[in-house]
Amino acid sequence: MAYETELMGLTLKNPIMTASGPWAGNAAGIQRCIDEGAAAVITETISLEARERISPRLFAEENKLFNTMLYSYMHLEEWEDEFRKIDRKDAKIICSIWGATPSEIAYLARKVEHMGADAIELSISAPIGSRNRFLSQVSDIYEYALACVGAVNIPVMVKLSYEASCSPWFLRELEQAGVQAVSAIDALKGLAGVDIETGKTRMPTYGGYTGSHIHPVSLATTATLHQHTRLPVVSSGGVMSHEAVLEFMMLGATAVQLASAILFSGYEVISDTIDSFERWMQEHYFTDIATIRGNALPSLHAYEDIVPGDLCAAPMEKCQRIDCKICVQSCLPHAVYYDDTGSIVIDELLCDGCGLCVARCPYRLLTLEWN
Amino acid sequence: MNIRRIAELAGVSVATVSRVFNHPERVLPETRERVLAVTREHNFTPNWFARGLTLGATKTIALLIPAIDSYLSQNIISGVETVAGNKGYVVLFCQTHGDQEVEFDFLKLMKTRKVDGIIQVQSQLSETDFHEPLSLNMPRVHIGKNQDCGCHMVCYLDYEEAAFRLVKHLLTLGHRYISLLYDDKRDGELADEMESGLKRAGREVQCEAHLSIFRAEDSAQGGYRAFQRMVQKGTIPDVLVTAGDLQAIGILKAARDGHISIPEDMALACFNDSPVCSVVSPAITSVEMPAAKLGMAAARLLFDSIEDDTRDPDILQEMILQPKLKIRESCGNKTGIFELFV
Repeated sequence: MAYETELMGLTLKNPIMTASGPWAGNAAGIQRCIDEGAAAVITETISLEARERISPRLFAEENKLFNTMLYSYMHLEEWEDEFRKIDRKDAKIICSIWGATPSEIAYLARKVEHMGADAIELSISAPIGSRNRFLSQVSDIYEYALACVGAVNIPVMVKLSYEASCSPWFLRELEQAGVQAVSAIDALKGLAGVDIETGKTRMPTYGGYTGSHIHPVSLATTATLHQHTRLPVVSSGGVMSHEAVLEFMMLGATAVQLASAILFSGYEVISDTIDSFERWMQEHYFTDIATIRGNALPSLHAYEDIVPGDLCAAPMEKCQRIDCKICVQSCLPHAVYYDDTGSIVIDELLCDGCGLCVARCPYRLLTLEWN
Repeated sequence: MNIRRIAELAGVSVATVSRVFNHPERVLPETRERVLAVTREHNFTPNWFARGLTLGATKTIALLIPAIDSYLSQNIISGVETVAGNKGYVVLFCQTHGDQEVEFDFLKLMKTRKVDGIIQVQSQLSETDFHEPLSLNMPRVHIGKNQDCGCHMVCYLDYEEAAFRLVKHLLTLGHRYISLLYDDKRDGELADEMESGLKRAGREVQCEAHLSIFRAEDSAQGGYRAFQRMVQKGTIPDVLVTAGDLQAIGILKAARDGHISIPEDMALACFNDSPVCSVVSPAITSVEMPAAKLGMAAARLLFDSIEDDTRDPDILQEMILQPKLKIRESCGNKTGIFELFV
């Protein structure tokens, strides 16, 4: 069953694309993404200069991933050669580009269009190095985006940082410049940590923080973007499974980008995610994406609109796990305690219904009830 | 060995051999293979100069540059050469010493050499020089902002923005009197750009900034002497900004010799950042100008034009590259991180 989706006038065979990154840093990598079934592949960011790679440049701690990669190390001319080697099949190729000035970005845009890109993703906000200037100098974003859009006949989308995604003004500038979609979020700025014994940071410079831990931030951003802009949203940030794909779609995403997942699980994660996504859709008798897109948005309310409810925590069955204590520790007003028999009791007068003990109970024995 | 002999040995015409080299797609695969086998066997390479005469393409470009000894120039050259190398072109370097006549003579020479294109850095010539007797008809790119030499492809580093960012930093540190030291033979309109960037920074920070201008040779010695003179005259400025990194190094030494501490007694900064700026003590706050990228950009514009003759040569194409301010120690910055690049 096909789950086609339209993005910026391009027909994608499924809503899953690969984000800009080292997995798409040359023809071989792009080919792997295509062969694994990605509907669209976004190249590693192409710039006018190529940068030597630093080593190490990837840092991982459990599920936390940090990268210090700014853009492709290949020259534009090498990219032109690489492009000819790709068997594109039915996948779209989107070139991620970055330049510091409107004239630079216009030039690059024309070049990648000439190379055969189906669309462009403007990379404006990677948190690595010192190119993140749009956060402080947003005044020229209109001119910058316009230079790119005006230079080519293919559609342009912009990859947004978390901060840029929160700015209605910034998004309006992009809309007015003729940008046709936004992707969000780019990596957050992060540090792996400080080795307190040596007093030194674990990474020599700031990195782009990605992976499953930024997933909640990315979910919120996808939803927020629907409040700020009519532009289609391509979600990225902690898409590690087909469930995450579905979550983003239900929050209104037009498509999603896989990134860190490829570094953690290899290129196969692309086909695995697509297969699982399609299977889930079939099992739930959804024949096309439009039927789920944005479905979760109506359940999201403004904080001010949520009616205060007089709820109180209560145990659903007797609990005497003296060694657990999680609910006791989670209660600021001391409403949860063990009685003389060693059973959990909740004082209705003290409980203010915050819900933390309910959420944290490993045995799911607690619930919120009307007082 | 020549093309005729190859043709004979391969049993084809001279024209076919020529096509194998220049338009291999127009030759039958088996014929192409036979010709290539013979050329490999006899170690034959086509005479590129002769090829240029008939095809009008020598796979050679010329780079006319005032000086090749500065870090900035070296990076421009490296950028041009990198892209030319990617494209399979050879670059002829011509050092013009900023001299109009030398530049003109080189251009004449490049015309007879039938180069495919020319990159001129900070040309001293004006458009009228390019009509008779020169009448160049190959694509040309100019590196440098204010050009009058008739190039329709221009790229340059934005020194006005560089001055703006540097001065803004200096003003926020509380400095108000800024002196610029530059080499008027080499640094072109830097003084004007500085003036303009300074005014803009003053407006933004809402204070009045004052500029004095001094000239010195673009070398460590030039910087040393210029600063020694200031010390002797008792006219040490509040802030001294130099055009080149080497001048700044010379000033550091002169300051040490004269027991003047930087940044306590005087702030020091420079344009055209280089690796030395970060290794001296105190590390020098500077503006990095992306010169290698500039060279690459110029070469790309040139090759676009060489390869695509359908493009209208009269449409002005301009590419402007942005500087990066590297805040180090020499101006008195004391915030958190020791090096801050903006």
